[in-house]
Order: sequence, then C-alpha cells, then structure tokens
Amino acid sequence: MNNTRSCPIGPQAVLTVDAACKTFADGPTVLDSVSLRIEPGSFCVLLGASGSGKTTLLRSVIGLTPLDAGFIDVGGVKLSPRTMRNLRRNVGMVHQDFGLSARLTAAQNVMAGTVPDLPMWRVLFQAYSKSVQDRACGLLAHVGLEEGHVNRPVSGLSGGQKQRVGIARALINFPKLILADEPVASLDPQTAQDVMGLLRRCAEEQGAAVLCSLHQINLSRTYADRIIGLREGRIVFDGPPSQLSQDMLARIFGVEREGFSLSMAVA
Amino acid sequence: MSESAVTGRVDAAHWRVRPAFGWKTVLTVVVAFVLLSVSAHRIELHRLSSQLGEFLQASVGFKESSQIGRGIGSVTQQMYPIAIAERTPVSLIDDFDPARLPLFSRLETERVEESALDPETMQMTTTTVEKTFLVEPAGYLTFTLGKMLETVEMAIWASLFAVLMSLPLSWIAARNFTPHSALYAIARSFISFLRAVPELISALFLVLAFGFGAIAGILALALHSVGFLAKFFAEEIEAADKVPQDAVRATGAGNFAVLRLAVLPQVLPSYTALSFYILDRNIRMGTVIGLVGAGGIGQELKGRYDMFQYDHVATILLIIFLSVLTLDALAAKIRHKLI
Repeated sequence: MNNTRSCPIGPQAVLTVDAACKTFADGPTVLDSVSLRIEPGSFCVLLGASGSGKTTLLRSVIGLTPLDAGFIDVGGVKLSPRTMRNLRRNVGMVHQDFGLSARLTAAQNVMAGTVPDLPMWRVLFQAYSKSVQDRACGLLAHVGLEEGHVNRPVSGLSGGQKQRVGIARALINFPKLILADEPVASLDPQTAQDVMGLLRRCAEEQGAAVLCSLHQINLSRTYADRIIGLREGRIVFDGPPSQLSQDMLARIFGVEREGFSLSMAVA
Repeated sequence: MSESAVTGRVDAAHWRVRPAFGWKTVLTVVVAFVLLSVSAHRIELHRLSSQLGEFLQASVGFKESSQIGRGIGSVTQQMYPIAIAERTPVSLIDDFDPARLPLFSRLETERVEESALDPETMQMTTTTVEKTFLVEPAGYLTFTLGKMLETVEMAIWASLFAVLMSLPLSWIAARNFTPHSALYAIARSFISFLRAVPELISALFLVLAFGFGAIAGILALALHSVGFLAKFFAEEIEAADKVPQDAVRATGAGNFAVLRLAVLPQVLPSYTALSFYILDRNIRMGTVIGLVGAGGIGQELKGRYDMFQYDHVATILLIIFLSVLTLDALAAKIRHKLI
C-alpha cells in the first residue's frame, strides 16, 4: 500500500493517478489524495461501497469530473484541457447504466465511439466508413450479439445485451486502457458473471488494462488481478484477491456494517 | 422521548390540525372581489346582464325585440343560403372567349334596367340592357377552398422555417450546450421577445415591409412559432438524460457529436410532437392572420365581411371549421403513428 502513495511516473504504467483530490461544492470529500498506477494488461477492480469515490475516480481519469488537485497521466500523456480529447480517444469506457442512445441501433452506438476523428457531415448523417462499419459488426459478433440485433434500436435489447454493446463501443478505438464504472450493477447475477467474463476476455485479447469499479466482493475476487479498496475517498487496500481477508473487507466496507455487508456479499 | 419511541405512543394533546383556510386565503378572495368589481364597472359589464335579460325577455315574448336578437337574426338571415356559385359579368373578364368556357360553367343573359344620367337633357333615364353573366356553379366554393389551401401552405412553410430556425437557436439557448453564457442570455431574450409579439401585430408591420400577401403571413407565423419552439427545444436539451451524453463525450467527441448522437435521438419524439403542435396552431392562426392583409383565407374573409356579403362569409367560416377539424384529426393520427 505504501508504494502506491508516492509513485514515480514510468513509461510502463498505462495509468497513473497522483494525489487526486475532489470535493463537491455542497458535499463531502469524495477523493482524498488518491494515488495509484495501473500496469499494462492488468485487470484492476476498484472495490468499495456506494459513495466511496469509485465513480468519481473513474470519471476524473478522462476529465468528465475535473479534479481539485492532483494529476492524471494516461500512457505518458498528462491530462489537461488541451490533451483531454486526444486522451479520451485512447481510453475505452463502459458505463453503469450502459450510456447507450436508446433510439440508435446497436451498430450506430458502437460506431459512435469513432466520431472524434470524423468530419461534421459524417457525424450529422451518421455516415461511417466501410472499415468502421466492418469493425463494429466484427466487435458486435465478438461480444456475442446476434446478427438480427445489430440494426435494431438498443432500447429493445436486454440488459446483458446492452452492456455487450457497451463493451463493443469501448473497444472500437483499440484502447490500451478500459474504464468500467459498475458495468454489471443493473444485471442479474448470471448475466453479471457473463459480462464480467466477456470484459476480461476482450481486454486480454486487446492487451488493454482494465480499471473496473464494483461493489460485489465475489465478482471482484473472481475476475480481478488486483483489488484496490476505496473507502470515503481513500485507498484502504491494494493487493491481489488472495490478500483480501475478512479484516480487509471490514476496512473497505466499514466495521459498523461488517456483518451486514459480508453476509450480503458472500450470499 | 426514548420511551415514546419504544412504545410508539406520543402525547398529542397539544397537536393542532392546520385549518384548510387561513386568513391569507380570505384576504386574497376579498382583494380579488374588490378588484373585479372595479374592473366590471370600468368595462361596463352591467350592459352584458341588461342585454342578456332583454334577449331572454324577447325570446319568451315579453318584449318585441332585443338588440342581440336583431343582430344575430339579421346576420343569420343574410348568411343563408351560403354562397357557392360565382356570377361574374362577362364584361369584367379580360379576353372572354364564349367558345371556351371553364368546366361546368354556363352563360346566363339577363335584362337589367340601368339608370343613367343623360348628359344632354340632364335627366335620369332608365334603359334596359342585356347583360351576360358567367355562372360557375361551384365557383366560389372552389375559390375559397383554394384560399384555405393557401392558408395551410402558409402554415406549413411557417412551421418549416420555424423548426429550421429553432434547431440551431435551441442549441445556443440550452444552458448546458451554449457556446458562451453571453450568447445564451442573448438567445433566451431573443426567443422571449419573439414569443411576446403576437402574430397579428408583427403581421401588421410585415405587411408594410413585404406588401400584402402570403410572405408577410408566413414570416409573422414563423417568428412567433420560433419563440415557442426554440424555448421548448432548448428545455428538452437541458432535460435530456446525461448518461448517454457522458458516454459519447468519454470517447473524445465534441459538443456537436454529443448533441447529434446522444441528445437528438432522445429528444426527437418530443421535437416531432412539438413541431406538429406548432403546425396545427399555425393553421388555426393562419386563418386569422389574413385579417390584416397577410394572405390566405382570412384576407378573403375580411374583404367579404367589410362588404356585408354575409353569404360569402358563411361559406368561408364553414370551410375554415371543416378544414381545421379535418386537419386536427389528421394531425392526431400522424402524431400517433410517429411517436
């Protein structure tokens, strides 16, 4: 844990967060000097209860939530207003409530990931090049969507299918880092397993590192290479799943609710 | 307190239920009553009751006649039968060719007595002349229908212009997408201004600028519609779900792409509904706007009304009512299908 406190930026880290602080105007401190670095190709889970700062940390990585202090470095590029859009192109993101445009088709949602590089008229008419179309189809097939769903509005898809589309969209720009904000929060346990497995498999094939926030302990144990425990905006645990003891869980989720949280998580 | 929390029993002897009416309500009602009384005196509202009373007495036979009765009676008498045919003196038609009459029309010749002042004897002399009329059995009806069509066309163009103007304007007038807060303030006040100017008033001035006819009407309707559409469009943008917007923004996209790919798909159904409402409204307002000379059926209505040709007025009113009813039903059907 100590080595994450002061981390030198090296070329080997795909993401470096240094002393990130964030306090919302009328709320509590959500990030209290968080520092961490993610190695290429690793699958890291941010584990913590609601309000522990997981979402804020993920959003701050690509500048969706600006930090009060500290800095972000993705693949050697420091996050600043000038570099932000370029940096975002190289990071894929999977969102909690899927973040899909319900009336666009699955393919259109996936292809929307490529718009920063397109001229305005192509965006306006959603006229994507053949190579983008082919890649979107390939990705949708890869994440397990059936052909019949490709050109249907995503509003008609099930939750699991929607998140598969979300994963395909995150992959379309060949990212080296994928951020996943509670990707299975609204899915049933079996679908959650499937989607987590898919996310891990896709990231491995792509050679991308994943930083995934979760509140389910068993899912974290199953899929993570490394678990980072957040509580009230501080990192309280950082290590492989094997080191995640009952004591550590109590630290992450709070002693006073220990029995409650753990029984929920193990069940 | 801890005891009551355990037992669930609280001493409620000092609790009071708030009365449904307070002194504020009573005061408001009294003030409103006073203000309304003053206003009723100012606009001579007592005439309404005296005239209605007179009308009721006349209708049950206590009185010979009433002002309302006479007014309605004379108008309805002149309205029936409604004008359907068109009779035009042949002498008033340029290049009249009796061999090539319009479809379904015929010629009628009448002997008409014409009085004229003899310039030599300085006396009125009456001569009988033969006058030929071109009679088109449904001439006035088709003419009025054409005017109604013109009104509908005006409304369609006005709505189209309004939608095209409102789309970029609503982008500027949406707090979360405006390029600059100063532009936001300017756009919002511009939209409020457009909404504050009634069509009939802007049409008065547009007729001065563009002359009589449909152009002035289209612009007047369009400007007022922009005042509504841009406001509601902007509010739809502001209220749109943020999650898809963040997702598109997270790919590195700019504001335009976020609007196009995350906002527009969300707001499109309500945009369609709003645009149809505006079209519906513009058709109804388009019938009225001709009264100040801005084209369409209203201009015809105003002309005939001023010439006391109430049979023509009746035709126009019937066509307006029937068209608005039909188009209303049609619009409801289309809206239902689209959404």
